[in-house]
Amino acid sequence: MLRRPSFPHAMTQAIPASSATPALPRPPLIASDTAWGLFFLFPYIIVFVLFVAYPIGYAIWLATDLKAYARIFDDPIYWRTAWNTLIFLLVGVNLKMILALFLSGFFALPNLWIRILGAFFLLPWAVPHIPSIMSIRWMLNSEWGMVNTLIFDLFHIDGPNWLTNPAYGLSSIIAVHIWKYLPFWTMILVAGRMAIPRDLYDAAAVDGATAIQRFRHVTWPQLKALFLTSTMLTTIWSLGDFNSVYLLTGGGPADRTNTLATMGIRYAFRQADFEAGIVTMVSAVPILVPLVILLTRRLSKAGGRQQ
Amino acid sequence: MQPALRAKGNRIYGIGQGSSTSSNDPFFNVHIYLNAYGAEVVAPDGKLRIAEPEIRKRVIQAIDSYVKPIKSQCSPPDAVNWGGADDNVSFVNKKNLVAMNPTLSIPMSQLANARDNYYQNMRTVPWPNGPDGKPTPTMISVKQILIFKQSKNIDNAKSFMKLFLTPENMGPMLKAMNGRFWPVMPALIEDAFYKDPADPHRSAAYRQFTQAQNKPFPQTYNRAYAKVMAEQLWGKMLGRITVDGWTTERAVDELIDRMTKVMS
Repeated sequence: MLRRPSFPHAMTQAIPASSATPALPRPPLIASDTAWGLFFLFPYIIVFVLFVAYPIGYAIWLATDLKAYARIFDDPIYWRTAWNTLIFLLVGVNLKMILALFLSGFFALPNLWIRILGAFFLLPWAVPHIPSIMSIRWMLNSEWGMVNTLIFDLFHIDGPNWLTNPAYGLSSIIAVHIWKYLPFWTMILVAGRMAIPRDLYDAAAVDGATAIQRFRHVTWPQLKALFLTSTMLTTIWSLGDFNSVYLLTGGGPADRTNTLATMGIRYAFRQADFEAGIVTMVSAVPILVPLVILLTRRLSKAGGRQQ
Repeated sequence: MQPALRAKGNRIYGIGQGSSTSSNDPFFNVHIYLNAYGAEVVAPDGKLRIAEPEIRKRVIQAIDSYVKPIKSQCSPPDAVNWGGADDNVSFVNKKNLVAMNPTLSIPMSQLANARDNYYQNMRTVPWPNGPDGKPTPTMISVKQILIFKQSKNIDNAKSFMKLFLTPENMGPMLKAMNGRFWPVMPALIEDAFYKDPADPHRSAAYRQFTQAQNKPFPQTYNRAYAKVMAEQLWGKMLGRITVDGWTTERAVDELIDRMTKVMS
């Protein structure tokens, strides 16, 4: 059991007896609760400094190299990559969240079989990235993948180049990203739907509201805050989604399906240009910072309302 | 050959010829094509020559020749995004009849466990002659040995390298690799091990190395060319043609611009 630290009250004995008024015990330099607070905070501060403040500070310092910006902006592949990232975020995130919104309605239904199905539905999110995405890569391989082999066996024609045509490649990346993360966001929204008071639906039913009206006037107003916060959060996370791109196409063919996350790694480690790698990620800051500010504002507002 | 085999139900391609940015093989192979067409992009004095009209013309001819099987769908579609070992995997899985590979890694992969494949079922041949009818020089990948200036034991390191780089010590190590790496010392290359006609692969490599005047990679002449390799500019240029559908002239001109910038 932890013992609270004791402070030297005995020091009052050292006060000369000739003193006119008895001295009060000197308050400790630091309140004991604060001392314990700092003591327990210390490991976190160490971890924060070593693994958050130092790497970010070092990255910011590297990102001050203006020549590195000139190098990446001069590379035609960078602009293609920035465009891919925008498409990936706009299509991938929005499609995923809209699907999650509607699927959450299905998975929130009180039915045992739907609960069991929900457990299977969660599997893509639960299994590790490498085996799951690599198996999709093998399935979609144009040369000997299961899909194109089946197409050749059935119709004697070559199937589409799923991963080696840039448009199909990026679409496949978006599809895999959605497949991988849709279950998680669906379950978050299912939890949100579960928290909506049943009375509201009962009242709407008494008023004769249709399913669309119930969604519009009951579900959406109750779920909107969670949906928007989740969308912002997943946009931030998706910006750094390295696995879906790297494991599926490797950024190819000819670097046409890279996003900023994979291109930064390519610059830093394949081309040994570390500064270019860092500034590639920093170039996403104009998207990232407004999102983080909006998110923290929303969360602090929500916190204020709860208080 | 490809259509005939496909008509029999084999999903097979004529030649496995990579054009990706995720492997160094296309970089190697493109330089062999450049050799065949006499396109010397960097002169031995280190000067970048690719923008010279005659060299540009030869580069375009070489690249046209390189992409011909890819554009005519005689190469597996995934070859535009092959990684380092994918050409080996594709050939060993009998997905293409011929593979253009800069080393003997494909037959070597069969030597230990499938000796029939190595001796009976596979053949290695030197590069075809160039359009001028002369043997095509292959590339010699010069490996550098670095000793750091501030190392504690520079003299010992130099002394070790001097000892290691003798035919007596280097030879057994290279032989143990079965020809995966090739000796450049005349005393070693003339060893019967490398020219044994009973070995269909090593003897072909021996003919390649001894019958044509081989060339080092351009970074040996100008170290800035290493950036061209790191940035995979040749692979990106091939991608412009095979993936984006650009003309060879346009893709080569973009390559020339970028190469000139990168090496300046």
